Amino acid sequence: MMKKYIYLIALLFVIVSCEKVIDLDLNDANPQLVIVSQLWEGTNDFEVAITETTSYYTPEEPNQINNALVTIQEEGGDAIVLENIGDGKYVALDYTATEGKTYTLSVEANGVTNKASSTMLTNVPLDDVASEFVPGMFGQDDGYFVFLSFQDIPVENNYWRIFYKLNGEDQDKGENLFLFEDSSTNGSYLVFPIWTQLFDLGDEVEVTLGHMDQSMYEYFLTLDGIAGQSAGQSAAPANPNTNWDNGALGYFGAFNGSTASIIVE
Amino acid sequence: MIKKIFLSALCSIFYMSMMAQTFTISGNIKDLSTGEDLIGATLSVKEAPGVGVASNAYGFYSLTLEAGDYTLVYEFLGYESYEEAIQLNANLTKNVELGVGGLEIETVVVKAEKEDENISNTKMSVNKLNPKEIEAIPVIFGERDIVKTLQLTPGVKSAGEGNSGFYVRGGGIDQNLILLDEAPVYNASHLLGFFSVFNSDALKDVTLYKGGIPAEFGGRASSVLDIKMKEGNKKHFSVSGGIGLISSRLTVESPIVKEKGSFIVSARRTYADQFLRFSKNETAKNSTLYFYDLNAKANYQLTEKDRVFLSGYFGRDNFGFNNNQFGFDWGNGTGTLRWNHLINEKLFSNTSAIYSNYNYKLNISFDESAGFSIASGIQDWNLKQDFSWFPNPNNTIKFGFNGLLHTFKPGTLEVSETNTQFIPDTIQAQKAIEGAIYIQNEQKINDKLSIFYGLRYSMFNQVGPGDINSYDSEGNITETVSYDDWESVKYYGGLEPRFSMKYQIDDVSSVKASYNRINQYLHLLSNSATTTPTDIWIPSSKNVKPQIADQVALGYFRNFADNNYEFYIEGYYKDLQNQIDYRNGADLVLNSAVEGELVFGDGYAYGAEVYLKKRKGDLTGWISYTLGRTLRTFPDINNGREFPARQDRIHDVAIVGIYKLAPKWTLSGTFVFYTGDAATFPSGKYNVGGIDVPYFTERNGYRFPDYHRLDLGVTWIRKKTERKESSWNLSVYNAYARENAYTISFREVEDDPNQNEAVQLALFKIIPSISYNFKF
Repeated sequence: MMKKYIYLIALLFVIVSCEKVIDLDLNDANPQLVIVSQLWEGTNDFEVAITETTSYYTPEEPNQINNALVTIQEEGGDAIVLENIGDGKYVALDYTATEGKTYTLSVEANGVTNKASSTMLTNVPLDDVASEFVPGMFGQDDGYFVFLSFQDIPVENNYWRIFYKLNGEDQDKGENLFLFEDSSTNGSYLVFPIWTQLFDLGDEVEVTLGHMDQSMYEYFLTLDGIAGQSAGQSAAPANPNTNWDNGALGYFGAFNGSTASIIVE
Repeated sequence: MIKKIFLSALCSIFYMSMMAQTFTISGNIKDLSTGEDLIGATLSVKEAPGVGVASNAYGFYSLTLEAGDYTLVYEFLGYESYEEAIQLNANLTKNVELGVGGLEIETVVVKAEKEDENISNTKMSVNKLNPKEIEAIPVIFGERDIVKTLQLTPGVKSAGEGNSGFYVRGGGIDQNLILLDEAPVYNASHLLGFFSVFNSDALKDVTLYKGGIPAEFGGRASSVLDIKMKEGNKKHFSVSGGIGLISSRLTVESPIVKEKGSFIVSARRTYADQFLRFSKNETAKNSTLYFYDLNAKANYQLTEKDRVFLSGYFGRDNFGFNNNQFGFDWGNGTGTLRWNHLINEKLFSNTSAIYSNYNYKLNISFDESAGFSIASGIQDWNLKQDFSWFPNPNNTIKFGFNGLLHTFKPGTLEVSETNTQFIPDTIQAQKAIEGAIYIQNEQKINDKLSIFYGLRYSMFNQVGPGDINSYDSEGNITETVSYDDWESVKYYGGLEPRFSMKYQIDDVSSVKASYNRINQYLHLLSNSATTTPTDIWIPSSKNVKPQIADQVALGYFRNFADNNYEFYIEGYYKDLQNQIDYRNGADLVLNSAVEGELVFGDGYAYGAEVYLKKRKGDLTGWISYTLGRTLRTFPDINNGREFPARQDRIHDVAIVGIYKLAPKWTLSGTFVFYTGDAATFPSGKYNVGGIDVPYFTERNGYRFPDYHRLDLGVTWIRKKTERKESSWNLSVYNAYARENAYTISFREVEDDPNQNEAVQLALFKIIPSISYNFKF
């Protein structure tokens, strides 16, 4: 958050700057396994997507892995095998994830096994969402901030990713990645805007406060550093800190969410 | 062999000083028109070729000779020399003033400037700038800047477009010790690095040591930038200044008591934000953005043997957005109190008390219930004692010691009264004591060979109070131990040998070699691509070892055409231990466990520098070329494989030309070319839940496009008399509008989300600027 402000100063210089698309040769790395999966609290269809990296400039779809062995296991429970449904996707229908439990996802693909664990944390209820007018700055248009408010739990070190939908559509691009942790605000009643976006009058915004564990926060934080609003600021970008233990990219995370909606007025 | 040289050196010091019937000539060498002390002016003796001495940082010199008749020759580069015949039969005090020329001096004046200094001096790897000499060089926004001019000299590289940060011989930005009147300056830039904090109107002498660093300096691994402020005009009241598009400057100098004391006050302020007032946009109207610098110095001759100096610098950047909803200010303050005392005609003493402070404060109050501010800083108190001893013409010995108390304030979170969300937090301050003791001698062995050797012992002690963490290899805290006030947490110390030598081949050429070791106990943490005010300094500690640099250099120096052209080539190799980098996603702001975010490794750098300068005639200027590599190895980065540092620019060329078209017209031009910075770009991509993610395979495996730029300038002197001067300067930065990449980012093609493209951002196209400078 801090960095963003510092870059406001840089904006003044950006006014005289110019941008252009350049021809830059990039190497083609050997394809690497990418496993992405979110497990939400409650009974839902649980899905895992397995693909491979592609060359950076190619418009082609990534290679999808449909012959992997994928299992999910609740701590103290049995491993359940997920079924391949094509397009590199695997699913366990009506799978129940419970607060307080740790889940381990195991994927055997391309001859290697990757495992990752994540803990389903408590639900932190979203109290209210509200909108407020913001005048435009540095030549940007006016808009509305959507504020969310909730009571932070007294437990230290909580991490959230705020997911939101605009007029029914997931805002899931890198620039919408919005993370929050409570090290400076533990236990307070919190009110803050979704910094990542300004909304317009009449927009319908659905906000989900996704409570997650520290390994997920570190993943998304480092992901934000290369693919989010902070991208390009680091002198030394690196692959995100994944929780996969054997070289795979992506993540497996457990989320406990609380949702509220508003129409901007 | 080394032992033998050392012993014979020692013998010669004492042998010479034991000779009977010797007398000492001592005094100060000054500028005739302003009374400013001249640093490094020389005294030689016609009857004894090869015998001579140079004035120290306060213009003081001392030369001991046998009784007899001599002709003394005082010289300083760019000044007319002064000769005087004397009969030496008693100790003699001789204060001399040298003029620039065109002025009448009573005694005989011969035109024989000290032009082969670069050949005959024992020191090597030194870039010296005369703030006056660089006036005509075109610069960005018309702001003259000594640091940016230094970036045009060999071995010194700019930290980026328009940036006043610099890399010396492959070292990092924090490996440069920047001293302003002996006080360290911790953040030497304004406005994200676009301006240096040094207002060249107030400066007298700028010397950058890249290698063979004398034992009197220490504390940073790569270089010492020693900047000395003017003392102020001792002869008469004078005012100078300039009005530019970005800023204005004003300098006032005057004697306090004629010939006894003087002062100088120099101020600079930018006013870009004043234009915001005319904006129609309310937000812009209510925003501020400026910086200012204030330099002040006074000196007074108390007695024949005592002189005191008080100097200070204060500068700040201020940024306020929309009635301070977001406010950010940062800056340095330094103060130096010095006392020169002449113990006897051969022994000169200087005692300094030095204060230095850097801090920043950032406040955010977009919402009443969430107003907060973050502050961080570093503060130093330093006591320093130096002696210069001139036992005989062949030896100039310096020795001394210093003790320094550092206080690090990593961060405080303050919240406003109405804030109900944030919890105030202070990361405990840390204290450390740094000290050093040194001795060095510049010794003439014979007409051809001279050596400069020294030894420094430096120490650093991290002390309590505080709760000090230990970390495992993953950066997790393993234990926390509490320490009492002043209780030692960790002690480091080490010997730092320094050596350089010169062998004079003939009148116009010499070879030089040097070695130095330096320990660096302070480290700058900065993980963004630009220098930002939130970069923090941390001490060496239980978890962070001192950086150690060893450097060897070898050079050949040659002047051509009656010293019209100066040429050198130098090669260097530098070994760096205990370098610092960061874990992925490291958070450096308000982090009480920041040491856990660090990873450690080693590095080395090597290269060659070539310099050719034309010093006289209507056309003057230089060509500078550096070929260099700088590489790092960290077990935790790049899978332990070696990778180039960001500043690993292989080729770096600068050409500077100044052409005197007519007595009142000067044209100037600068051309710069360097290999693009090493950078990390993706070698693949993948998708994570809608987010397009670049896939990286190696650190700094790619390069930015090559950088090149031409700047042009023209100066018209409207009026010039002995005392009054006014001129207009027009300069054009980036004259052929080269779009040099400031950043390169990657994104989806707008109308084809499946396809990616690389986008470069160029900061400045053509930037013309105009300024008016005056002096009376």
